[in-house]
Amino acid sequence: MTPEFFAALGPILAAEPLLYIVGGVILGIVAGATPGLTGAMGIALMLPLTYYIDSKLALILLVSMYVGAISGGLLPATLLRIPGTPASIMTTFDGYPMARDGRPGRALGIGITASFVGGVISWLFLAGLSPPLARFALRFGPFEYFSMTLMALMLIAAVTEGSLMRGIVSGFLGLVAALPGLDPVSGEMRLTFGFHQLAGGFQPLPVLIGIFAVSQILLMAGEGAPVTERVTTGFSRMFMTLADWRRQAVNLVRSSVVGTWIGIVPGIGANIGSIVAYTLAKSASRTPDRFGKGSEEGIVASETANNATVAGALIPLITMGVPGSVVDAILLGALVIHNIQPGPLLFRNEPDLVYGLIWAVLVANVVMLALMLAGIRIFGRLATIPKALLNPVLLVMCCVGTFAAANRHFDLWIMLGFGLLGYVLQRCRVPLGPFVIAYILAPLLEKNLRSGLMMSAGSYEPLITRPISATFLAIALVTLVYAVVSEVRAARSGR
Amino acid sequence: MKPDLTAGVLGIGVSIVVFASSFTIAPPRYEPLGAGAVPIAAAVGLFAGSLILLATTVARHLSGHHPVGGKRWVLVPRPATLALTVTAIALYIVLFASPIGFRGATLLFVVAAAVILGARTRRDLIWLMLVAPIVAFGCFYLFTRIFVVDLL
Repeated sequence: MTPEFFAALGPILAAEPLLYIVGGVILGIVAGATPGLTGAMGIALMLPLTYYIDSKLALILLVSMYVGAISGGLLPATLLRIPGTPASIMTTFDGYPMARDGRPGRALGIGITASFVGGVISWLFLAGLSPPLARFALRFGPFEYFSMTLMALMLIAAVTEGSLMRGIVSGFLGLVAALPGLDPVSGEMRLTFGFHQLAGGFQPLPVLIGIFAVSQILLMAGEGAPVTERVTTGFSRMFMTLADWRRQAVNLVRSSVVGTWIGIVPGIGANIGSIVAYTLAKSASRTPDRFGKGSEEGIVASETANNATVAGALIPLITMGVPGSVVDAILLGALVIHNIQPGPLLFRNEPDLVYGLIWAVLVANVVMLALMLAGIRIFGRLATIPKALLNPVLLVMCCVGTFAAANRHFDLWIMLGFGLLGYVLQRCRVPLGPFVIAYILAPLLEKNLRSGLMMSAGSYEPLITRPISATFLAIALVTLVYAVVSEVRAARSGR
Repeated sequence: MKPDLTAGVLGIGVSIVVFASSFTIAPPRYEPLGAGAVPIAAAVGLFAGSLILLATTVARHLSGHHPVGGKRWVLVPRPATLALTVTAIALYIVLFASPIGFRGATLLFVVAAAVILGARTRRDLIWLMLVAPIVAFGCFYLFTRIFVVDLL
């Protein structure tokens, strides 16, 4: 820990950043607690508004929203059996049965506390690992960055939900979406199809709002809201006792570590973290048969791990500029919009910003704990807002936000186009994660490969002769082979 | 159409368009790859991935094995609602830049979209009468006065 790290805490506790943290956490909880709204959608919708505020405060707001959204997903998962965010799916298995048994307060209290513990433990990893990782990343040249980005894309395609091929198709579609406009190296115009408005390419804001927000609203319009039974009574025994802490200590630490490490792996995200932690907790439990029927251990594992992925996924983002999850890809977009280049140099050039952001994650977790415990009844009501009233308002926010960013009417059509594409992809069960991450990372991938080749006079040899680059490529290859073998085995066994 | 079949066809269609357009990009002058290399590589990768997706779907179909995609993807439970919602958004985008202006367009859109999406009870309509003007005039005030954006 450097003196700059501790010096960054004071400014974060000033009135203005604190106000943004509280505001961000509230907005995040609202996004997470409202079924149909997700953290990614909420953050994408908030992006245009951040144009008008200071970069550091904008990032603090978005990161706080991220913390709030993952935690807020617990509320509808427990009260309605609808995961507010994909990361809360495992919570529905035990949270809702507990709520039906007349213990919603207990289920929510345990979930909120577990979310906080997961957030704090993973924050320790974020604060402890980021500076040395950034120092290590300073050794990277263009070939290393290219190989690392390729490895990240391969991991994302291989481990996201659905089949490997769907992930690969999604990733290539994202790559293609990033290509139109002025070539970043030579300045040549390409793939604009006669539209002069595409000279700057598909801008991140219309693409992200279309893919995450508009497509989600279209899905709800086409499929209708699920019929639910809301549980409202029994908000008591919310705080964990000393005996609870003793009983859950191992589960809390294990799920936090699992969540953090899964968060660090690019593109996997909170839902997988929560599934893995839940499975591990079940296999280690003395009462595995209680899982799925209202097990407190199940709620603890799921909520601890999904919150732990938030800080975990921020580690590769701020140290190397590689998003650890889909929400981090949007945060990477936000950094680009605010002209901040994420990566190892961030620690050297803007220590105030990067350390401030790290402290903001911890403060956001504390604020989340206080707000969720105090406002649980109010936030719980969000789950019942009629979608027929909410969705038109959200669509207006999508349009006005997209338009306001550059005052271009054309961007609204791009937003609708990507909304329809996102809708079709989701109906085809093609995951959106690889699409968005490839779209965000494609310029980095291309620029580094071409810069590297210019330095090596067109030779690809450094890709395999430089040890770090070769390691990344080897991991990418092993991931691909493993994913293909797993898929072939699954096909043979008739799954 | 089955999900994988649709995704495969979409991928192949996009890859062909990108591949064909890549040949209009000027060749490299000062560097080994040039502006057209990555688009061509992306198109080839997308084509190959989509083709494998299509081939495995067809192979599964021929072997009589239908593990996934049993239901037709186009049959969403509420196709008319979906089509009307998309039309309403498109009309809103058109009206956004029309003489009606942002406030009028937003007022009309919020009411129309809410009714399309199912706000039809008296309680919903009363709420709608409150929400629509607040959104239309509130957003206008926020963006034009606070963020100083010209909303047409």
